[in-house]
Amino acid sequence: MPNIKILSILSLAALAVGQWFIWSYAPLEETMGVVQKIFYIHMPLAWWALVSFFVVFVASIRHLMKRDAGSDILAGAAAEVGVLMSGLALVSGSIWGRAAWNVWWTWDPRLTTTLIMWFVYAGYLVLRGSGMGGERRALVCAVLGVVAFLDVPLVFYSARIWRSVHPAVLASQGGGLEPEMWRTVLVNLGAFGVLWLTLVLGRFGLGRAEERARALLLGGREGA
Amino acid sequence: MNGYVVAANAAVWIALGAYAAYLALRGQGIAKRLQQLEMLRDSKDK
Repeated sequence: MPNIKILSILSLAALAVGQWFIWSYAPLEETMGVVQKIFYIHMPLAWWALVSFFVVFVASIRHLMKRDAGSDILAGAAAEVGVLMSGLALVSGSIWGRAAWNVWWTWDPRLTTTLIMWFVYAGYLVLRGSGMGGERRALVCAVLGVVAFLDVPLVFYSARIWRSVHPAVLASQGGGLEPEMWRTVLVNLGAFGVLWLTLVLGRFGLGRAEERARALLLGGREGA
Repeated sequence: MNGYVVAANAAVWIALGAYAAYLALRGQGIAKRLQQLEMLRDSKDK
């Protein structure tokens, strides 16, 4: 897929620019110092993970309505990238928590709802990989893809609804960030967005190719 | 450099790199498999 090659180069370039913004452009935060720079990769990972799960939700609804293989493959691709990114957001957040709050983990609403979301979508991936038959598996996964999305708005609003030690950066105006810090956040959001698109499209293409190989294999067996 | 920053960056970039490499290698593998299957189908059709 030539488009994926171009997108891969683009995402590498965008991530490099993002790194320059983090290490050379953004000022050092007064209280946390260099540890605050974890935020610039943590937040885009969490943000694009939520976008992934929204894509799973939309693709699952589409699959339930049209029963097309493409929607099912797209939902699987987005879920895989979402689980990877939310997992990394949890890991980077945990490291940040150890440096900032002196604990690796705390049962805070934002952290707890994110962990639940991670387990739900990890379960979704396990279900996708199960030996259940093709169309039946796609249907069950589509239903789970819709139901699982219930937790996503909870993750997003958890820091605002309940008392949370987790900062709600987008909720507060400016989030206590300096303009240079905001620019760094936005550049990295964009860079991780290009990476997210590359990974989802790459995984989608792979899923399509696997489907085609399966069809050829079945066709060959039926013909034999 | 602070240890926490190094750990967070290492975890993120190694995992993302490993996943991208997995996709690329699996993509190459499936492309070869598809080529073989298509050749097999064409030879049967003849």
